[in-house]
Amino acid sequence: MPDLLDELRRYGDALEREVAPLVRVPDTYGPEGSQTHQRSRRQRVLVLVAALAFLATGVVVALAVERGGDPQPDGDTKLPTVDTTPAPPPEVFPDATAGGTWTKLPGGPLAARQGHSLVVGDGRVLLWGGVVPETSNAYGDGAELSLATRQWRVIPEAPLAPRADHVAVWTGTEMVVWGGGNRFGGDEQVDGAAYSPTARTWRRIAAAPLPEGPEYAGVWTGSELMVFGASLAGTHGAAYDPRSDAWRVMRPADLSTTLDSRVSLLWTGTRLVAFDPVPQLAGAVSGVQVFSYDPATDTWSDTRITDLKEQALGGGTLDGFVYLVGYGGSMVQLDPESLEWEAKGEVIPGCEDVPTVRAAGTDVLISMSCQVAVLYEPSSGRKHNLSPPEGVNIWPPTEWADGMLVTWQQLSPSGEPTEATSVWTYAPARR
Amino acid sequence: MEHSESHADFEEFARQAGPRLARALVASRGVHGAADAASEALAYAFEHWPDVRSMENPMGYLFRVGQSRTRPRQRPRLPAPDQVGLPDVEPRLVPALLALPETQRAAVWLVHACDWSYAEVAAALDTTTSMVGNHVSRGLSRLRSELEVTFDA
Repeated sequence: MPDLLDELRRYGDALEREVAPLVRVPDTYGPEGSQTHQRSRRQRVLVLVAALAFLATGVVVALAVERGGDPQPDGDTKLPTVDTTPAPPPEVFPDATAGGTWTKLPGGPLAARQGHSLVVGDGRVLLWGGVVPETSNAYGDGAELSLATRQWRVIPEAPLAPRADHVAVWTGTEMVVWGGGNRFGGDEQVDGAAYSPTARTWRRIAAAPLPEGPEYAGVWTGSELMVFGASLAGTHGAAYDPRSDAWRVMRPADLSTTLDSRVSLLWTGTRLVAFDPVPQLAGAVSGVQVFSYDPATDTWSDTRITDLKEQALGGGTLDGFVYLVGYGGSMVQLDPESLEWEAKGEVIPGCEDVPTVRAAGTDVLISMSCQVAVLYEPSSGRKHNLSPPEGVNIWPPTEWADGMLVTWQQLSPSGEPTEATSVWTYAPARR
Repeated sequence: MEHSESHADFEEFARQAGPRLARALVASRGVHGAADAASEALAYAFEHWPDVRSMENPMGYLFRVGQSRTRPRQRPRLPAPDQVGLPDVEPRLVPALLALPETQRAAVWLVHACDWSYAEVAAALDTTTSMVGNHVSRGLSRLRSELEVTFDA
């Protein structure tokens, strides 16, 4: 008996032999390939005939609908409409000082906001949640950009209350959104849901065994979403495994110091590293406290305090090391196993802002809102100043994925919504 | 030098992609329509070659360009198997294929006649891989139902 799939393939082979000689390849040495790109009279006639046929079909369909008939009795009318309009090509800008390439992509359908999440996975940029700038009105919507087609689509409604400053991670197949609040210390949530862009569906995840109250931070470890927060009663942490949809409670950390704010977390590949300024009176800071968690043994390290006397700081990991950069632009390199640290000096002097620190290939990328950004080479200690296109700020949330940094531009340095939003990527030059 | 390399890159790409693209478009545009659509897509690729070259899935994108730059005929015309040297192929395969809803026909054609992956087809049709699976499954089921006397299920 003949095989349907085999016959389809053979028929495809035969049609390719028929159609391939008819394909016109642009003359790459003519102006814009115009010698072969001119439409023939036959093509124009075909277009006209097709347009008339299209109109006639529309009339027939309209009449059928008016009669109550089904214009497509096959049941495909519920399928999403295929938009075959190609997105405009991206605008590409070389970085004049550090090398590499900045690429501007469409900004998407979401209104400008703060406290939203940006996750990159499966060739998509996923934005979700946040608040109207300078208000506590939270968003519960999201949208996703396909990096291949440069087209946006709205994420279906989530089974979650609107929120900002939530944890959002990409697990490899889903975006997990958990926690968050209204950005002003209210409406703190301890629930979450997972969104699959392939299936375009959300699922609520199991309830976390964690109290309401702390402002939780979270990281993806490669197999678990680990969340951790602190209150006057102590620390609280739990890890969520999306495969089993189950949480495990982490042992509380026994800290000798007070955790005053939302603790910052980093995942080094084997350990969770937490860091937070140690507050003193009148806003002074005596140093940065650092401690780590080993998931293999469910144990916490002792706390070490660096002499990085910064009120706020950002951190990133690269090649197993932790890089912390303070408000004033000073950086330390930490060994997460021993918590020994080494001062690396000022990487961005004279800016004074909370830095964004990201691993970027073989470099550490550090940026501040004064539009200063540098690539730091740990192997040589060299710095390369970046020159983003005008108006591009590398602010959180940003992601490093697939060899490039991804950021969504929608607020001016003063926090005002920009006229148009855009997604920017930066791919460093290979050194 | 760089200009020449870019031309050489494009020519190599066009040489490989043109026939494959035309084959992919033939189920929705017919033989001549597919050639026109593939030509338009290659012209677009040439005009935007730095962007197209850097795409992960240029074929899926150019498939959409080809479709959007040409108007579909009311229903594509496809030759009977014996007209293209396949006298042993079931002649009712073509009308059965053409009778499928467009999305199902495109999905079945791209996956089983063009050997595209579900991810490539999802990008070309701007849908998800699971929806591609649904379209392929429903399309094949319908084809087998139409041709049940001749084909194994």
